[in-house]
Amino acid sequence: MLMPKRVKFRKVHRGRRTGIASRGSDLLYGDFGLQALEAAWVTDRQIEAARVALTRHIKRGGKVWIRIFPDKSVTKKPAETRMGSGKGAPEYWVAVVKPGRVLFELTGVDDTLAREAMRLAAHKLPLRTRFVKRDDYGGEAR
Amino acid sequence: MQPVSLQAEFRNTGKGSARRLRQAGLMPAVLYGQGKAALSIAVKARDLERALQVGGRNALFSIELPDGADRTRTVVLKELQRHPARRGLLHVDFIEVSLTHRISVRVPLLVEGAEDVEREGLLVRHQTRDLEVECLPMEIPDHLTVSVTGMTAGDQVVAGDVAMPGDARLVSPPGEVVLSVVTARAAAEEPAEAPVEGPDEGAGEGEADD
Repeated sequence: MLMPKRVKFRKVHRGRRTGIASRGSDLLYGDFGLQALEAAWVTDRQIEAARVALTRHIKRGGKVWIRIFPDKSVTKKPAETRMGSGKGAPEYWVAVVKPGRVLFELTGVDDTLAREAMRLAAHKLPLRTRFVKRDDYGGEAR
Repeated sequence: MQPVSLQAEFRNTGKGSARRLRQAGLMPAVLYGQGKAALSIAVKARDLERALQVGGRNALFSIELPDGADRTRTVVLKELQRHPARRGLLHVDFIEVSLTHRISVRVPLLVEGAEDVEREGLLVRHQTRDLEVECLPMEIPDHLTVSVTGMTAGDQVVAGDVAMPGDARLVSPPGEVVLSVVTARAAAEEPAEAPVEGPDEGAGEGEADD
């Protein structure tokens, strides 16, 4: 699963997820993409599940790009522990996603296959998404 | 490419005013170039969208200003801002051009024969999707055609190989790789396994607080 190789600080504040994606909202590499329509924390497992769903559906051929990376650790206290005694241990990693962010990109397959693959991948994610393709950007490269 | 005519009106600056304009179906824009003072204008959003759909990113416009000495200005798009999530247009920059002076624009590439390549289990990997070209405003090509028919894995096309239509001249470095043909693997490679088992091991430095 995706996770940082090393981090400067193991535990981070939760932060706020207001606003919209200020970057990463255009298709850069592929011809098709899956774009987030709401904000969410996407876990490393969810990203992996979506990637597996995508690659299994397109079988051989095509190329997938993952445009998000889970670089924020989420901590959790053990079960049946009394409150206090500091912050819990890091449990998993999440990518902070804001509306507009392109999550996955795909190329080398036809529209129908890409659409279905992205639909299956979207079911593994905790947020509403939209299928986008390069034509939707008026033929713009970026 | 003949200029598309757009009626413009002057507008007040500021985000509140810009939002009101968008609600009224107008698109805030700015017009500058040719050493003249920048003008804050608004054009009809639907007309602009339609012109962009037909003419593309490099469409030539003829802006009709409400008053002033030179009411009609020939312009091209300099910048186009879209909403990241809704994708609607937010603002455009128009730059005035002279019809007798060459300008530099980015022209999209059109790949021919990609289906044939994909049928053989190969993929066309783009390094860039447009090239910078210098030409007269009336002669901006819609696209540059690149053929990949008959190419095999490892072949690549550089900017210098792309045929320039008419009087156009390539500005991008001729050695810049435009696309390459690669073997299609089973989609994305497995993400590299990180050397740590979990976020609580190995990651972090000197933070033994639990």
